Formats: sequence, structure tokens, C-alpha cells
Amino acid sequence: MTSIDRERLETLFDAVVELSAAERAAHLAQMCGDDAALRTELERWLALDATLGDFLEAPPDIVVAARVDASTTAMPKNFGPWRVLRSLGAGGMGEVWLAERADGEYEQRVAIKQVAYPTPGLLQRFRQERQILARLDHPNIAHLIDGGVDARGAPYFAMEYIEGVPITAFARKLDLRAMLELLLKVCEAVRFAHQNLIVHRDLKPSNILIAADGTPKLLDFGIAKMLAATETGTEPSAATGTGLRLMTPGYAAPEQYRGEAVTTSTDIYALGVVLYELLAGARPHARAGEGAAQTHAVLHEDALPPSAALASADAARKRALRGDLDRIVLMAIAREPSQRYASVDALAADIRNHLEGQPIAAVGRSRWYRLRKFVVRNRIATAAAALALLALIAGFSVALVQARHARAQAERAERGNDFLIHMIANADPYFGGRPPLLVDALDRSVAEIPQRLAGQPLLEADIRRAIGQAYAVLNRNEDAGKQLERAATLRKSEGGNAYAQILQSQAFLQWQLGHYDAAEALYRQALAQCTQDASGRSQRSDVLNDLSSLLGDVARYAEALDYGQQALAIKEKSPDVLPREHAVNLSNIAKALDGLGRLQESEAMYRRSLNELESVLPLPELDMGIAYNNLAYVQDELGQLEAAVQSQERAVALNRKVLGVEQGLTIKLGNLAQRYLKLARIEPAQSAIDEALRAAATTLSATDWKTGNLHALAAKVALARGDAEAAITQARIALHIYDQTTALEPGRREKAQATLGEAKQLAARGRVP
Amino acid sequence: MTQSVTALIDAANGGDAEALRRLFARVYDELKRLAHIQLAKAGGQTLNTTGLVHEAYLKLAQPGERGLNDREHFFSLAARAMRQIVIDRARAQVAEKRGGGTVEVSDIDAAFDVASGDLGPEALLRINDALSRFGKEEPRLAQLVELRFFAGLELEQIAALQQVSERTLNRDWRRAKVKLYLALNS
Repeated sequence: MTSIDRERLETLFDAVVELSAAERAAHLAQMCGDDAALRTELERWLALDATLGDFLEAPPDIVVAARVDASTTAMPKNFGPWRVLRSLGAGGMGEVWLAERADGEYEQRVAIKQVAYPTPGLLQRFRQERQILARLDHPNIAHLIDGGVDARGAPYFAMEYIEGVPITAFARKLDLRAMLELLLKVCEAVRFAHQNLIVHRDLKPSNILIAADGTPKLLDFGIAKMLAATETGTEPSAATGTGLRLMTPGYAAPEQYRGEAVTTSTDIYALGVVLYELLAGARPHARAGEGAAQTHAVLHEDALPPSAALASADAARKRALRGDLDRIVLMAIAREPSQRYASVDALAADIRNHLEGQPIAAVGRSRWYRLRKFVVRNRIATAAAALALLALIAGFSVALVQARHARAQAERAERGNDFLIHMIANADPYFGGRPPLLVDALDRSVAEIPQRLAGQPLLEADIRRAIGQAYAVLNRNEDAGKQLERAATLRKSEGGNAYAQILQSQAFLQWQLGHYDAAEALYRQALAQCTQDASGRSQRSDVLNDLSSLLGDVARYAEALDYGQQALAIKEKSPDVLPREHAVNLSNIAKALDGLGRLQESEAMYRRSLNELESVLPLPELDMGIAYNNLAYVQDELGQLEAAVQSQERAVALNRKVLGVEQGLTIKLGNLAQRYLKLARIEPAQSAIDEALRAAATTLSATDWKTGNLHALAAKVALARGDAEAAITQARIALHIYDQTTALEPGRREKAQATLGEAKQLAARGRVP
Repeated sequence: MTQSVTALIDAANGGDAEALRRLFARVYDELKRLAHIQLAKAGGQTLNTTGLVHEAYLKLAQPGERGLNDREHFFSLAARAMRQIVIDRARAQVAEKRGGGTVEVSDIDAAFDVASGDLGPEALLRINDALSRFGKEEPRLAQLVELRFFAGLELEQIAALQQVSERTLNRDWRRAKVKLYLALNS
């Protein structure tokens, strides 16, 4: 832990604390990189932030000293008709006393709870627990017996006193079957609470006591929550969030750590943990230890199956657990609530199935789990694969969401879902083989489309588009073309936005292949397909923006500006434009303005775009890198050399961070070297061009004219440094490459020759003494 | 002769330590006096510190002549005074409970107990200690805790006083809570 950079931790905390859980997840991975310790600590902070809801939120109350006994050493003698026998200890809200009926009417022992400090917040919670207990009349739940105010006017309540032991201690002497039957009774009590819209939230062995006769009793609804409280009007839901004891580490579910919504599923998780402990003799993740390590394990790791975690070396027990019981427990304690049993009843039913030798419902590792694993594995493989995967998953999501809109199309969604899952399963290491790659999964899945999506032409189209787009990003252009073409055929007669999207993907592919005219024609077809409603307008804006960017690439700046502005106008009228898309639109307009020579406006527009990009989370670093690179050109043209260098440096840094060494970085490094050279900053120019050449070796073909440009630049840097020999070598390499290319910018060859000439002169002078 | 609060603030701003001490004492006394009156009136109810601090401000500040800086100055002073009052009282409560007599209890103090939600006097003392330790590294966050927790000011009010964005303060506040909680439990 000592190696954690506190300052960085705090900066990261600030950066993500206001994000939603989903946004955080994506962000954390990116920001923490390989620094597991940093990430764990950051997650611990975030978990604390989530659970510390009311901590320090209420300023201290000043209470008139109608003193309650917690502030004195004296033990109260009586509470109404109850005579206090002894203290049972301090609970979350105050003292708990053991008492018996004072008037001797009949013999009964009770546990009396009293709130320690009668502040409004505590009293409210106290009342709530009492209210909850009053609603829960069940033989396996310790029930409310009496309540009132004591002699000083402070409220108390009396509840059934259970002389029992925690379920884990009790179960030690039981055989497996008796243990499971006991847990079924506990499930029954929890089910009853859920039926009454109450979630316990703090189930653990010390709250599940077993009386001497073997009856389990649920205790301590002190932090229980009433579901749908607003409907019944009983209590605002936030009222339970007071203080420091909101969950018990070891039994709390991941969503409790994350501060997300607590539902009946949270209790199912805790029941699963208790069952785990009964079966294995240890809690899940017990090996992870305490504190931050435990938090990390609960949030990120799959627990060992109970059979593998068994504390004793009992071979017979191990065999008994393997299979059904392992699966039942793992399903109950799945990290995602949606992957657990849907109800306590379902959990109980599976335990019963097992006892009766019937097949159980739990199905091993869940399907989404597989998807997640797959995404995680592929995340860092290469940036391109990650982008492709994003494109793929985004494409699928759109397809599925669209399908879900209509109930009648539910089957379509289901089929699409199955297909995706199957595709992921194809790549899953659980099915053997080397670590899978995205392309493997794509390839294998494509072959199965006809069979799996038979009779679902629209779904097939959307899925083929997603796959096609992914192929395009991976530069598998031929495969991309096939998929997109097939998708277009299937969607053509239907037309509309989904078809427009396919055309847009086809345009992207043509653009990537350098077929600018074809790309433009496809974009124009896409525009014609966009509908007049809100989603059609958003699609239209999207296409216009792409078209603007394309036209900018082919130096048709006036049109590019026009389309860019049209796209922007739509975005500014629509309420739910993503900030990133707005900013990218601005950046395209800036590029067109630059082309038109409207440099001041262009510079201002880039700055506006960058400003917006910088407030987007997660930070769109790739977009920012492009914008900075282009801004550097404008600044250079404006004569702001120093600013241009700074922008270029940022562009390089962003590019390097996001994509590592790839073509874009190579080009940007070359640009940077050029800018340094212009400012006569020879040293940095040298290291930039060196790095660019190293990068070129793996990212550009040796005969690419862009590689030639880099060598020509290296020659100029060498010349500036006074190294005639290196300058001559570099210039010759450049000219050699230029000789092999047909498409060469005019003037390049001449410039390189001039450099070579200068270098030769320098060499000649050097030889003269 | 009693100097006006404004004059004391001026002197304190000029580096006059004695003026600062007297300023603090004035605010402290006023808060306590108000608490006493209010509690007598309320008869068995609870008060929270927020109302007291605002009332003390109305009482002590001469309106019209001072700018934003002095409002900020006043509230940070009041927050510190309120913290002092709460902690003095919590200490006395704990001492009483232990049966010790090390803390002198005045009549006014004996009239009330302090607590915040689940946090009884012991917890308040621990928070105070943690805050003192934590204040050495993070004076700005510690002051935020004083203003928000002990004086009960809303983040919105603090943002206006300190002229920083509420968003920044909200992040600071959440970070402060986590760090203070960790300090409490270390």
C-alpha cells in the first residue's frame, strides 16, 4: 500500500466520483492501468463514498438534557412493566437490555431496545425498526412484544428474546441434509419479509439464531429497508442510511459496497454466503483477507466453489458439494444481482430439488459472465481490437434495443441475444484452445449466421452490420465489405434509419479504402434514408458530420463547412446529443475553416471543441489527439510556433497513451519534429524524428512516401545539427523511396535533393582544414 | 468597552492576535447564549447548530458595511466556535459518564447534550481528534468540514462564501468524508 501515489489517488477520485457506476467501471480500468494497488484503494474510497451517505451530513443536534441512560453509568431498573435483568450489549442505535415481566403475570423474557441519543435521525430509524417488526409476524422472525416510553419519556420497545446460537455454530453438529433443511426454514422467513416488502440488508450468522429446539429466528431489522416505501407512504427511503454501520463486510453484496440500489437480491446474496459458510466452513473470499483486499475480491473475483474452498480435508463432503451445491451457492452469490436467483423462493426450490434428487435450475457460470470475461480479456489486446469490439457491441445493443421496442419482436431480441452469447462462447477459453481473439469469434460466428438467424432477416442485417463494422475497424476490409453488402440487401426494401446506418458503414469502408467518390455517394444515399422523426434527425446529423469530414479530406472545404454546420444545427436543436459528438462536429467545422484559410475562426473553433472534449468523461483522448494535431497546423500557419509545438506535444502524448505505437503516432511524431526544427530546438527535434523512424519501421511500409518524408526530415535535422554524413544518408534514403512511388506530393523530391546538396556542401567544407 | 465585531475583524485581519481571540470569544459566547435561550423556549426539543450559527450572524454582523470577505470570515469563525461548543459539551458528557470530574461543567453546558444521528459524544470527540490531525495536511478540507458539519452550512452557501463552484466543493466534501472516515478508523 505504501507505493500508492496519494496525490494521484485523490485526483482520480475527484475525476470519477460524480460518474455513474457504469461509467466509472470503464474509466477505472483505463485510468489505473496495471496499477492494481492504486485501483483497489480507489475502489475502496469509492465504496466508502457510497456507504458514507449520511456520515457528517447532519450537523450535531443540541438536545435538551432529558437524559437517556446511555449517558450515565446507571442501569435502568424498569421499562414500563419490564424489569431489567442485565445488559445484552450495545446495538447500532443504543443499548439492548434483557428484561422480564415485573408484575409476575406470566413468565416472559424480552430484549429491550432503547435509542442512545434521541436525535431526530436516530428516533426515526428506531421508529422504523419498530414499525417493521410490527409488520412481521412470523414464527421464524423475532417478534415485537411491547413498546412505550420510559419514566423519562424516552421511547423503547421490547421484542422476543431468543436464547440461541448463531446458525453456523449450531450447524456444526448437523449432517448435510439437516443443514440444508435448516437453511430452507431461514429462506422461508426471508421470503416472508420480502413478501411484506422488507429487505433485511444485514443477514449474517449472528442475526440468524437457532433456538434450543432447532427453530431459526431472524433478528435485527435495524437497517432493514422497506421497499416501495413511497407507495405505502411510511418512510422516506433515505432514512435508513444513517451512521457507519450499513453493512457487514464478508456478508455484504457487491452492490452494497458499490452503494447501488439494494433489493431482495441483496438478501439472496447474503443467504448464499451463509450457505457457503455452512457447507465449506469458511466464507467466500476468506482467503483474500480483510479490508481493501476483501473489497477487491468481492467486487472483482469469482469465489471458489464451496467444494474447492472446503476447510477440512473431508473427501466425502467434497464429493457431496461438487456439482449441484457448488452451482446453487455460486448462483446465489453471483456478483451481478441479475445473475442471482430471481427470488428467495427460487433459491429454496433449487435446494429442495437437490434434496429430492431433481435437476436444479442453476447453470454454472452464467452467460453474461462469459461476455464480460471476454471483453476484459480483449480490452488490452490491441487498441484496434478494442475499438472493433466496441463497434460490435454497440451495434448489437442497437439491434437489440430496436428489437425490444415492440413486444411482438421479443423473439427477435431473444434470438439476437442468443447469437451474441453463442459467439462469445465460441471464443471462450472454457471451451479449450489458445486464448481467443476477437477475429476468431467473428469468423466462427459469421459461418453460423444462416442457421442461427434463419427467418429473422432484419435482425440478421443488424448483426451483419455490427460484424462488418468491426471487421472494417480491424482492417479486414474484404470481409467487412461482404458482411455490409449482405446487410444492405436484407435491409434495403425496409429502408429507414437502420438502412441508413448500414450505408454509413459502407461509406466508412470505402473512405478507408481511399474510394472517396464511392464513399460520398453512399453517404448521400444514407441521408435520403433518414426519417423525419427525432431518431432520424439524429442519424442525419451523424451522416452529415461524417460527410463533412470526408469532404475536408478531399479539400472540398466550402462544402465540408456547409455540411458540418448543418449537422451542428440539428444537434443544437435536439435535447439529447452526446457532448462528445457535439465536440467532434465542432472539430470538423474547424478543419473546414482551416482549409478555407479562415485561420482565426478555425483556431477558436478547435479551442471550443477541445474545451468541450475535455469535459467529456471518459476523456475522448483519441478525438482530442486529432484536434490538437490539427490545431497545431492552424497555429503554425498563424505563426504561433510555440503554441503549435505545445499542441503537437499534446497530440503525440494522447496518441501514444491511447493507441501506443501505430501509424497515427508515427505521423504526429514527424509533425512534432518538424515544429521543433522550425523553432531551432534541435535536440527535441532529433529525439522526435528518431522515435518517428523507429515507429515507422513497424507501422509504415518501407516504400511508403510517408516514410520517405520522415527520412527527408531526418536529413534536415541532421543538417541543422551539423552532422553532414547523417544528413547525406537520410536524404539518399528519402530519394530512394520517392523513386519507387508514383503518388508523391509535388515538391517533395526537389526539397530532399536540395537538402542533399546542402549536406554535401557542408561535408566538403568540413574536409577543408 | 466592547468593540464592534467589524472593528475586531479589521484588527484581526491586520494581524492582531488579541483581537482574533476576542472575536472568537464574542462569537462563541453569542452562540451559547442563543442556544440557551432557544432551548429554554423549545422545552425539550432538539435544536441543530445551523439555525444558531445563522442567528448569531444576524446578531453580530452589522449589515451594509462589509463585503463578502467578512461574511466568509465570520462564518469560518462561527464554525470553529460551534465546533468548540459541541466538543466541550461532548467532553463533559463523556467525563460525566465515566464518573470523572476533570472537565468543569458550567450551568449552561449542563443544559444540553450533543449528538449527531448515530454519533454520540464519544464519536464526536473522535471526529474532532481526527479532524485536528487531518487539518494539518489538509487545512482547506478541514475547514470545509467545520463549515458543513459543525456549522451546518449548505454546500451552496459555502460555495457562495468562498466563491468556488459548488461542483468542486461537492467533490471536496465527498473526498473529505472518505478521508476523515479513514482517519477515524486508523
